[in-house]
Order: sequence, then C-alpha cells, then structure tokens
Amino acid sequence: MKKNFLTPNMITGFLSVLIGIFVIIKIPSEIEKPVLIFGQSSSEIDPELVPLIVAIMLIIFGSYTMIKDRNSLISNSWPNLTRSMLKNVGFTVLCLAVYSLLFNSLGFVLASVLLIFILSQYMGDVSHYISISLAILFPLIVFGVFVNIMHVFLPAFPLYEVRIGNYLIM
Amino acid sequence: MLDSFLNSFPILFGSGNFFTILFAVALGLLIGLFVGALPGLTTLMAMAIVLPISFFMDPLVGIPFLIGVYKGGIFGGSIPAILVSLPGTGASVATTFDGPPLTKQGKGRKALETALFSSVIADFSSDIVTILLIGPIALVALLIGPPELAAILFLSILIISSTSNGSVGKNMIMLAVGLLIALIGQDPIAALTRFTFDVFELRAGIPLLPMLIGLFAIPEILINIESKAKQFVQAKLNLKKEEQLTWKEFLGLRKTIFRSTIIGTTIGMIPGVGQVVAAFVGYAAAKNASPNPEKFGKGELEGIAAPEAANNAVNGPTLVPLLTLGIPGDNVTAILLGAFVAHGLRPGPQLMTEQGSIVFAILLCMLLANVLFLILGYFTMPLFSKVVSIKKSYLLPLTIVFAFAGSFVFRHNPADLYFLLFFGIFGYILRKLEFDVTPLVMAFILAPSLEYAFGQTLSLGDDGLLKYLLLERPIAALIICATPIITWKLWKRSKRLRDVATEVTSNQVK
Repeated sequence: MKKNFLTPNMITGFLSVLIGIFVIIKIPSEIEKPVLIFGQSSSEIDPELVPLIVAIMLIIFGSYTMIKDRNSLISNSWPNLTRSMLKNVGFTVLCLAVYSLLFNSLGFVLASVLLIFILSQYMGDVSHYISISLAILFPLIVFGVFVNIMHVFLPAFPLYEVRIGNYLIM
Repeated sequence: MLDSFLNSFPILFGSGNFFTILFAVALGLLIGLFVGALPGLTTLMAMAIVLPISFFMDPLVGIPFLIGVYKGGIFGGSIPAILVSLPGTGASVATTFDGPPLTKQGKGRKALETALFSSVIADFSSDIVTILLIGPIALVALLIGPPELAAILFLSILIISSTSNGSVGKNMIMLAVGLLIALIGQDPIAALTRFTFDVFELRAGIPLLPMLIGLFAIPEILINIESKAKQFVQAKLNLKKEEQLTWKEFLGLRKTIFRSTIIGTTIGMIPGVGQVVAAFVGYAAAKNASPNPEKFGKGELEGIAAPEAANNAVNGPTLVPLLTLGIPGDNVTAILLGAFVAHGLRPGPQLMTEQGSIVFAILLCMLLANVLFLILGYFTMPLFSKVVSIKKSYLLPLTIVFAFAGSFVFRHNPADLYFLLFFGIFGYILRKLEFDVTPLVMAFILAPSLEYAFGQTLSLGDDGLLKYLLLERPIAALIICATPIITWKLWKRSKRLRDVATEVTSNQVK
C-alpha cells in the first residue's frame, strides 16, 4: 500500500511539535518573574515548570503522532468539503464576524435583526413575511427577557433607548 | 452525610422555590426534547447555549433546569431516530436499527413509547444508584490531600484522553492543547501573568463560557449550514392514529431494560466512554440474550428498549466523580461543572461536607425530573414528532443569536464574542479533521486545580519529593504507580466496547 506523507496526523503532529518549541522559546519572556520578599520567592514553585512540562508534552505527543500514527486508518482522512460547502461556511463565518463587531456598536436587537434576516435569506426557501417577522420578533423577545426579566445587560441601540413604560425594548 | 441527605428534603420541598424548580425542570425538558428532536443539533449544543441563562437563576433552579435539558435531549434524539432513521443525537444511533422498521409497520407510536418508558425507568434507577454511591465516595474523597488530588486529576485526564474517540496520539495532543490554553492568563499559585503577549483581554485567561459554546454549538451550526438544505428532514407524520404500547408488551421488555440499566450505569462510571457506547453495548447484549436475534434490525421492540435504557442509565453515574472529586467524566458534565462553579458550588471533596444538602436536593431534583419527563414526554410526543420537519433556514440563525447573547451576558465583555467566534471556527476545523474535543475541554477545566495541587505537593515535598510520597503519602504514590496500568486497562476496555459498537453497526448495514 502506498504510504501518504501529508496526512492530517502528520501535519497535526508537526504543528504540535512546532507549538511546543514555540512555548519553550517564549517561556523566558512571557512568564512574569516572581517577586522576592526578604530574599524568598513569592511563588512556591518555579513558575516556568508547568509551562515547560506542557511544552514537552506537546513535543512528545506530536512526535508520536508524526511517527506512529502518520498512516493510521483511524480518524486520519481529509474532510470531504466541496466548493459550495466552503462557500456556505465562509459566508456564515463572515456574517458572524461582522455580527460580533456590530453587536456593541449597533446594539443587540438591530445587529441580530440584520443577521437573522440575511442568513435566513441566504439559506433560502423561506417565506419573506415569516423571515422578516422572525428577524424582528426573536431579538426583541430575547432582549426583553434578558434585560427586563433576568436583569442582565445586553447592548441597547446606541443612539436612543426605545422604551414602553419602564421596559427597555431595544 | 445522612444529615445532609435528610436536610435536602426541606430545602427542596419546604422552600418557596419548589414550583419554580418544577417549572424550570419542565422548561428544560421541553427545550431538550425540542433540540434533541432536530437531527443535527445535539443535547450538548442546547446545554452550552442555555448554560448562561442558568447562571442567573438560584442554584436549585438553574442546575435542575440544565439537567432537564440533558434528560429531555437524550430522549428527544430518539424521536427522529425512530421516525425517520436520523439520530437526533449520537446516543440514539443504535435506536435507528429497529425504530424505522417499526414506523414503517405503523408502530411508530409504540416504538416511541417503548423508548420513553425504557429511558425513564433506566434513568430513575441509575439516579438512585448515584444518590446511594455519592455519600460513601464523598467520605473517602475527604481523606485525600493535595498529593492524592494531583495524582487523581492527572489520572483522570489521562483516562479521558485515552478513552475518547479516535486516535490516541491526537487525543493526547488535544489534552496538551487544553493544558496550554489554560496556561494563558495567571498561574493559580502566585497569580503571575503568563502567555498574554501584552493583550489586555488575555490577562484574565480564556473565559470558559465562550469556549464551551464556541466548541460545542458553533461547529454544529456550521456543519448544518454546509449543505444549505432547507429542512432537517422532509417528513409528514401523524402519530395520533397509531396503536400504543400494551401492558403485556411492556412487561416483556422488563429483563432487557434491567440488563441495559446495569450496562449503562457501569459505563457511566468510566470517564470518557459515554452514552453512545452504552447504547451499542446494550443493543448487542439484548440481541445476544434474545431467543430471536434474527428479528433485531427488522422492527423489534427490544431493539428500542435496550439502547434507550442503556444510554439514559449513563446520566446519573457520570455525576459521581464530578461532585465528589470535581472531575467531569464527559462534555455534558463539563458544562454542568461550569454551572456549579458559577453558582459558587465548587465540585470536589469539600463540596459534600460544606453544601451536601444542596447537592442532595439537586440529586432529588433529578428523580423529580424523571417523573416530569415521563408525563411531558408522553403527552408531547406527537407534537415533537413534527419538530423534525422544521425549516433549518429559520432555526439556525435564531440559534446563532442566542449563542452570542449567552456568551456576552456573563461578563459583558465584547472580547468574549471574539473568543466565541475563534473557538467556533477552531471547533469546526477540529470536527472536520475528526478530533475529539473532550480531552481539550477536560484538560482546560481541570488544569487550574491540577496545577494548584501539584504546586502544593512540590512545596510539601520540598525536602525530597520521592521520600515524601513514599513515606508520608503512600496512597498518592500508589495512584501514580498505578496510573499507566489503569489507563492501559481502561483504554483496552473502551476499545473493546467501541469494537462491539462497530460490529453491531456493520452487522446492521449488512
């Protein structure tokens, strides 16, 4: 049987070893030094010890996977992703990234209305009326329950607060 | 311990909260049933998304609410498995062997009732075993100090990694990655900053909640969006007209339910193995014990009762190591651990002595949840059988909004949304490359306790660690010496159980 070189396990193992080496290189600069109190360290153990152990684990397990599991038949196949699948996932991730940015600047309700409407339209086979109604009603309900009933903070519309009586609506 | 148990009754029934608890459990069960009934969305995802809501409830309301989601979800998963041969959750894959043939014979309702009754009986029995076991184990757990705790925690993450799905090498890498992520922020011994790369948002460490929702919920949503299919499944079902399970048929299943309950309860005590394996082993055992094994896979009620009883019997026992030692046995208990910690109940040896009554009250809620589960499940079965045909294009965007709101509300920190997105994409890549995230999550959760106990042990054994362990802490030394043997044995056992599952599946495919 022909042995493959660039299997998922091989790459995973290689990345693991690289991360382990990176951690070892970064240990001196990325770990705060303990304060000395009357000549005694404020930390009971060397703060570099545990990160060093973790880095060594990454190198050992990575090497094991590269050498031993390289051509294993267990969970070692590349995902079967078509161009359209990647497009759908890519578009959704892009929407989520924009949503994360708008969540605060536009407020929860407005940002969510846009996200629900755009994603449901993108996925298709929706009635426009149901899609619009859901896009408007669902964020309003979630906002109402979280803010007015559970008294939890969610970003409101930044320009002005919309209220009915004492209840913040968006 | 007995006092704590007895005190739990007035806490549960005497408080003004009782009806709120009932309502929360019922709501949790309905949410679980709904999500479980949707093929492609799992109980784990539902629990991760509603976890933040439980933080804002009383512990006696919030935790039973999550337990309701868990119980409802496991049974909910069997609805599409029986009706349209699509398992709603991994635990109900074995149910697809006999469920759809029964539905084709016009016995869908009968099959669903078998699944419900088997699930409730097995769950109830395993919860009683849990209540009986937890006291004595907690008393033993009280005797352990930092060296023993460090040794047990290390053993646990090794067991979880070796018994998880897929390649051992990849699972061990996931374990190390989980420990690495836990290093970011401050060390638990002297609060020294590490691996923050001068990013302010990393100073407090990686937040658990966005990580859990990101790893468990977002990948499932992305996988469902891949195909852009309009519905989870195309089906028109009407259960109201179908015949119901008779008393005689139910009595004929009692041996199968009993056997599967024992199998599920035993498997539940092994960390990392879980419901999927329990269901397959339960199915295989029922088939082997049956005088008519040839009927399995063609519409046999025992083929429904066996996996359903086994996967539900896992629920209770997984809580024993969580509550007594602070060790979550699987992803669901990892989420429950998050809920316990958020409510100020830190699972571990001290929990049962300090808050034993509340813990027992929560366990009693589990029994209560089973009764509610039976009633709600029975009456809402026809309704949830229609859930399978809900349009994806409506449901998935709403789920995303809920996941983001849930991640944000706990710390009100916009950075948590970026953490959520990062872990969502990371989780998706891991799923596509067939990584099991369980070792990563477990290592991340247990790392602070492990590091703290490890630091204390090194400090206590300052004059010579080996001498200290051998002379003063022989149990810790014994656990350390036994670690490779126990890990090897449990790895072999879980491999054997998985082989049974694979064999059952391949036999059914043939």
